[in-house]
Parts: sequence; structure tokens; C-alpha cells
Amino acid sequence: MLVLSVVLMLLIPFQVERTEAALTEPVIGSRVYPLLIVSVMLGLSLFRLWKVFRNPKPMESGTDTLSNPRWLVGALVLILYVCLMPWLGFTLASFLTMLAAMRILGERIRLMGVTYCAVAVGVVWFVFGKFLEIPLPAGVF
Amino acid sequence: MDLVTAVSEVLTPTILMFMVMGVAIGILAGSLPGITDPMVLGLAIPFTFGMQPLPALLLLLGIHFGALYGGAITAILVNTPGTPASAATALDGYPLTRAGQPRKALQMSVLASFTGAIVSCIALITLTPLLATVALRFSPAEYFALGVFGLSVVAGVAGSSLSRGFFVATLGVFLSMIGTDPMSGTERFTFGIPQLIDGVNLIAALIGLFAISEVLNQFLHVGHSRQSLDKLNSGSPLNLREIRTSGWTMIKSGAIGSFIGSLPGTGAVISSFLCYNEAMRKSKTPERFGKGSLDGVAAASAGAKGTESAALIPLLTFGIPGDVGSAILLGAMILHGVRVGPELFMKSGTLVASLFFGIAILALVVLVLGWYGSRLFANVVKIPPSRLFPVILVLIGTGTYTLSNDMFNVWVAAGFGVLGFLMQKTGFPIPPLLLGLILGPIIEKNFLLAMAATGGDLPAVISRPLTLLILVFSGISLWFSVGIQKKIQNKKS
Repeated sequence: MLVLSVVLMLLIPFQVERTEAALTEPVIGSRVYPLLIVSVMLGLSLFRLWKVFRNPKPMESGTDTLSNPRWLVGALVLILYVCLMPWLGFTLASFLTMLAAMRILGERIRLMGVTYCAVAVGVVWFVFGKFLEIPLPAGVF
Repeated sequence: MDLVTAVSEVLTPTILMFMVMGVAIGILAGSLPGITDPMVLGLAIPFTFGMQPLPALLLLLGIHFGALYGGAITAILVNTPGTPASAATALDGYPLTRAGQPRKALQMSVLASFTGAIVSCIALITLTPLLATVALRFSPAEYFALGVFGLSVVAGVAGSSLSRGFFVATLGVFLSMIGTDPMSGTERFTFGIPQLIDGVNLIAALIGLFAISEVLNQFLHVGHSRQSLDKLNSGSPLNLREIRTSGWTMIKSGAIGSFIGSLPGTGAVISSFLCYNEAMRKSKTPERFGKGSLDGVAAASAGAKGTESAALIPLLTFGIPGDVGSAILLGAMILHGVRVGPELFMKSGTLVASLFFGIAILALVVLVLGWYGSRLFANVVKIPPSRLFPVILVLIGTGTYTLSNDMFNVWVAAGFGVLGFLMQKTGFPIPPLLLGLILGPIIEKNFLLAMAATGGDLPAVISRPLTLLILVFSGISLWFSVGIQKKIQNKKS
């Protein structure tokens, strides 16, 4: 929390151009509100730090699950899907992602699974691409 | 206005069919992640060009009302709120599903939605002049205070650590600053990325925080989910005692929702979280909130639905839309030659009466479709997670892509998804981040406008009677919420 607040505070001079807004001049410049918000974050971080030092507690049980690499595999599937969609197009990228996700989630991929993926992707493609007439990524091939 | 003519105009087979069709499309759209209410409303408007104003408006209102309920279905069944307003419903709805009671949660949600809609409809019909007058007297200072009031709700959804909850909410406010400064027009935290000039897309962030984090969570529970699905099949229906217990919560939340909804710029999200917080504050068993409380589902659903008709109060009376949905409806009304404002009541009294009656009928249609269709919708959770979540992954990708027809929002959703997952696992609550994202722009814009109006005199901004009253209520609400959290902690220990 503290590190994030400090990083955001340091970013303000680089990411917020100093101006005096026409309506608010000379009262509130463009950096005042971001500084105010990040200062609140910094204050809350320091308060949290003080609380932890005062009354140290064991780590939250949820953090144990982060050592399980399965969620990283899931995140990787997601990132690959987002990366592949513009290249392979919506239908092929979605079909492959579905197959991969089903396999990782414990489903045995047989004819039924492949058919299920094809039908599901087909339905989504029809609803968005045909019925709602929203152009979906076609891919480069 | 001729009431008999108004009623007979609505009770024709064609108009009733359009209403049922609208609600069905709305429920379906609302339950699909990534398909938003404004998106479907916008797409439906061209289909109404050839229609008379009454059936066209009732079809669009049906979609709007149906989508609000439909969002709660996926919120309850797969922890994926179809609409931002149903995020509060997921807080207790999804734990009920995991506890094997999806049917109960869905029925409570639809019943509370009906109650909220009816209370809201009564408010629309009877309190129109009074509430609209109060809303019109609000200046930016009052809207700023209202935003702060909304943030005080964080205490109720912060979980075990209040400081973490407030930190996350402030982070949400910070993330809402990304884009263009509302006053000076300068870019902030865009890192030179042109897609960020308009800010972080709320729907993409919402899908990421709630849907992707849940998909990633599923990857951790391979082999465990089948057991919980067996439990889901044994879900019992809602009984009379449970309805009676939550009855007052539904009516009260509907009334709060009606008040919030009548204030332009607020809407169902603030209302649902406020009502949820209020129900927890008044509950004899606040420790059950967040773990599968039917009262929590009732409060969030009635609070959200309570806003829908009430949002039409400033729209119909003064032409000011209360939310995005009513803004799109305003566009449809203009297209159909319906002039909103006091003139509407004087020149088109029968149309107004027909609309009011039609809105009440729509609430009934949502109840019937939701109640009898809930078992059908519940079938979604019977699909094994290994088959359901890959489809959700594809829906997320498609839904976020269609928000702006480019890959950027898909990356935004993915980023928020990983952030939400890591937050969950390190004990940081997700709902405050969403609250911060939604309330951030309201607070900032109105704070800066109020400061500009007073020449930067902060005491002058907060000492306005209405502003002060709202801020005092915020303090009281926060104080009570902190008390509840302490009570829960004590009970736990």
C-alpha cells in the first residue's frame, strides 16, 4: 500500500501537466485534486503500517493459494487469448482458448468437448457478429 | 387525462407482447456478461422507428427493466454481475449459490426487484412534483456531498479491515482520474496511450474485477467444484417465513432506491450499495452479510430496482435524465416526437398515464418471468465449471471487445481481473474499488465546480444547509458501519 502510494505520488509531476483551469483559476490547479487523493492513500497506508506494527497478525490465509501455480496458468491462458484474438480472429482464438481452458479445468477433451466448444463459439459469434451486427476480430490470415 | 383510455391502450395484445418481449430480451441481455443495458437499448431504438410512441417506449422500458434484473442472475449464479448495479446482489447472492441455495437467492432477488419496482412506481406517480423540486435545488456542492455519502458505504463492504477497504476505495477514485481533467482538459496518468484519454472503461473494469478474477479463482479449484454443484441441485424454494422476514427490508430499500433514483447522476449502483449497507446496519445478524444473507440479496435488489422508475421523475418532469438508461430513453422519446417537461403532462396526459400503468405492468412481467424462469436460469450453474467458465472467458473477451471495437478494453479487463484476483487473495476487498471508480468522477467534478463557484472557499461549500445535512448523514452512516464491523469482529473472536 505504502509503496503504491509513494509511486503514485512521484508520478503526479510527470503525468499531470500543471495548469490553472480557466474556471477554477487561481484556486485549483490540475495537480491539486490528484495530490489530495494520493495524500489520502498515503495517510491510509501509514495508518495501516502503524496498525500492523502495533498489533502484528499472521498473514491472511488466502495468500497461501497464490503459491498454487494453477492461477498463473489461468492468467497465461487469458493473456494468450487476448494476444491471439487479433491474429487468429475471434472464432479460432476463442475455440482454442476454450479447449485449453476446459482441459486445464479438468475436462477430458473428446469429440463431445470439441463439439461443445465449436457450438459455444458459434452461438457467441452469431449473437454478437450476426444478430447484434458488431464486427468481431477477423484475424490476419 | 383519461385513465380508462390509458389502461385500455396498454392492455392490448400487441402492446402486451412487446412488453413481454422487451423484458425477455432485457433479462437475457442483462444476464450475459459484457452485454450492457445501454448497449442493448441503443441497438433496440432503430427497431422502434416504425412503431407508435407508446409500444416503442414500453418495449424499451421493458428491455431497461429486464436488464436490471437479468444482471442479478449471473451475479447470483456465477459471481459475474451483468450490470454494475447488481454487484451488491453478488455479495450475498453468490455465497447463497455456493451454499446450494441459488433458487432461493434468485426468487428473493426477483421478489425484492418487484417490490422495489412497485414502490418506485408509486413514487413516480404520487411524489413526482415533490421529489423533482428537491432534486432541482441540488447544486454541485450537494452532489459532491452525495458522492461522499456514497463512499461512506465502503465501511459496509470493506470486509475485515476498514483501512484496507478505504485504501481500495481511494485507489478506485484515483483510477477514475485517469483520462482528461474535467475542468482544465489536461491529460492525467494516460502514459501517452490515446485510448486512456476518455478514462478507464467502467464496464471493462467491472468485468475484469468480478468475472476474470472468478475465472482465475476457478483454476485453483479444479476437482472441488463438482461437490458444490451437487449441493446446488438440492436448492429449496423461498418460503413464506423468509419472505415475511425480508418484507420490511424490501419496502424500505425500494423507498431509498426511489429517493436516490430521483436524484440525477446517482443511480442504481449507489442505491444498491446504500440499501445493502442500511440492511446490514439494521440487521440482528450482520455477521451473515457477505456470507449468504437473504436480507442482503433483498436489500441490494430492491434498492437497485427502486431507482428505475424514479429515475424517470426528473426525466419526464424536467427533461433531465437520472442515469444512462434514462438518457437513452430521452433520445428515443425525442425520436418519437414525445416532448418531455411540464408540457408533456398538459398536452399528452393520456400517454403519461399509459406509461405509468405500463411501468406497473412491466414490474409484474419481470416478476412472472423471473419467478417462473428462475429454475430455468438456475440451470446455468448445473453446467460443470470446466464447461461454464471457458464459455464465460470467451464472453468476457467478446463483451469487452465490443465496448469500443478494439482490443484495448480486453486488456483493461484482463488487467483488472488479475488485480481483483490478487486483491482477493491478499485480503483486499473488491467492491470498494468499484465504488471508488463509479463515485470518483461525481465527487471530483462537483467538488471542483462547487469550489469554483465559491472562489475556492471550502467552508462555504460544505456549510450549505443541504450539503452539511448530507455530510452529517455520511458521518453517521460511517459511524454506524464501523460499529457493525467491530460487532462482527467481536462475534468472530
